[in-house]
Amino acid sequence: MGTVFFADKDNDVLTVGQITDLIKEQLSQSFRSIKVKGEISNCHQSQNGHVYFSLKDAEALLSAVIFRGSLNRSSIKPANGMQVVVSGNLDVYAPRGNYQIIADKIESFGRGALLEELEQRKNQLESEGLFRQERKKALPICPRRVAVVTSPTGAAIQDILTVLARRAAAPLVTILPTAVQGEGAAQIISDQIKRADRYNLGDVIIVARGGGSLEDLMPFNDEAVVRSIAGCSTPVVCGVGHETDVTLADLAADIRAATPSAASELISDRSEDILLRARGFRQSALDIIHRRLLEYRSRFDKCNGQQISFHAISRIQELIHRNDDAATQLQTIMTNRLSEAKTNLALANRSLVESSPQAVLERGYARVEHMGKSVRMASQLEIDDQIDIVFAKDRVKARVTNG
Amino acid sequence: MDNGFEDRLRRLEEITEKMRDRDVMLKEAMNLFDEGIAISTGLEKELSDFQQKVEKLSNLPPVDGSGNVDIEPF
Repeated sequence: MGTVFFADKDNDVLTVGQITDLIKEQLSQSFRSIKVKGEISNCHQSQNGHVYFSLKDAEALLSAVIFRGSLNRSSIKPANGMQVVVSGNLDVYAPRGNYQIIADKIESFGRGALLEELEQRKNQLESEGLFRQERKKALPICPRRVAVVTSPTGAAIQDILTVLARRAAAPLVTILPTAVQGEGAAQIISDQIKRADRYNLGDVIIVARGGGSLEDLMPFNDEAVVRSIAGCSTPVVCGVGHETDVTLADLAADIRAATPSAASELISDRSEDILLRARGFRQSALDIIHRRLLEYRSRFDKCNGQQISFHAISRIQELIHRNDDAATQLQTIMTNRLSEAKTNLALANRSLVESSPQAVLERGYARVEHMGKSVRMASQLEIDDQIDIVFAKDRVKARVTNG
Repeated sequence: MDNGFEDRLRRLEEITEKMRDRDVMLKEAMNLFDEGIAISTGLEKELSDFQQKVEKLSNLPPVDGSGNVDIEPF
């Protein structure tokens, strides 16, 4: 308990410096070390690396500073909107006449509570069955229209449109604009999801936002958003944050995409594939028909008129040729045989002629006849028989004298 | 709700096989060719209808679907 001042006499007047000193002394005696919780705002860093900020809540504001040394040692770096607990001591900054807390340590109070709250909410919704695999709907294979619930000025929609711009088979995109962080965003997101579904603004709904802190993504952990997604009859793809960010909206969606780009690729892949194959068909069909026509034609050409007679003629000629050879051969054989035969005949003839009785007689031999009969041996004759000695051309009579 | 894209693609694949089949007469192959071209042209047109088309909902009709939507180009 410090000195109590009650100024009612003229020599109780203090200078600004004096009163400030007194206040300073009072404060530092009464508040050795304190821990204060609140939300960081007006956060900025000076040139020497010290960070000046305010801690606020609904009722009041407390100036604060964390010097460079303490800042480096702190695992939490102060940023606007953070819910924190600041440990330190109170001080008065005389030149400005304000008091502040000089922070030794900043801890994330809000984040812990936030995560706790989130965990509880997740368990609650999970027990209602809202995240069950069986509830999840299949995506249409080739959606022609897609409704995107996202910020019209954010990075997410740009990423989505960049992906789709490269696709010939891109679907029609209808954007349902919404805030994607901060107070009140959750309600708008939830409403836009419902509108996308009830007014049938797409064959599939994409809920998208770019990367951010846990605080930034909080609207996508909101119960109303989860219930809207779960209540859609249109399939919902959730592409929120970076690959590692998982929000309750992701758990409720029919498909979770790692990022907004991934979401747009997912819903446009198969259409693109089919379109490319349809185009490919035209070319390959032409090739096939062309080849078949060529084959057909070459077979036909082989059966064409001119080609036929040429073939026929050459075949016939071939036969004739072969025939000729055969004829010639036959001829030769016959000729040979014939001359052979002639020779034989001549020989036969000669020998015939040569061995005729007349031919013998002509050679000087004679024939004997007795009483008109040929005589072959002497014993057929007796002495004094009258015989005819027949020569080739004439005869004489003779008498056998002895025998 | 796939507008028969998958079925039509499958038909194109069947047609391609049949056209290659030497047992299929040339005349029929040509009929199949015509059919295939018609299908692929249809697919191409339908799938590329919405290229680069982006719109946005410009009003906030009742969430239960009972109102009317205003759509604008984005």
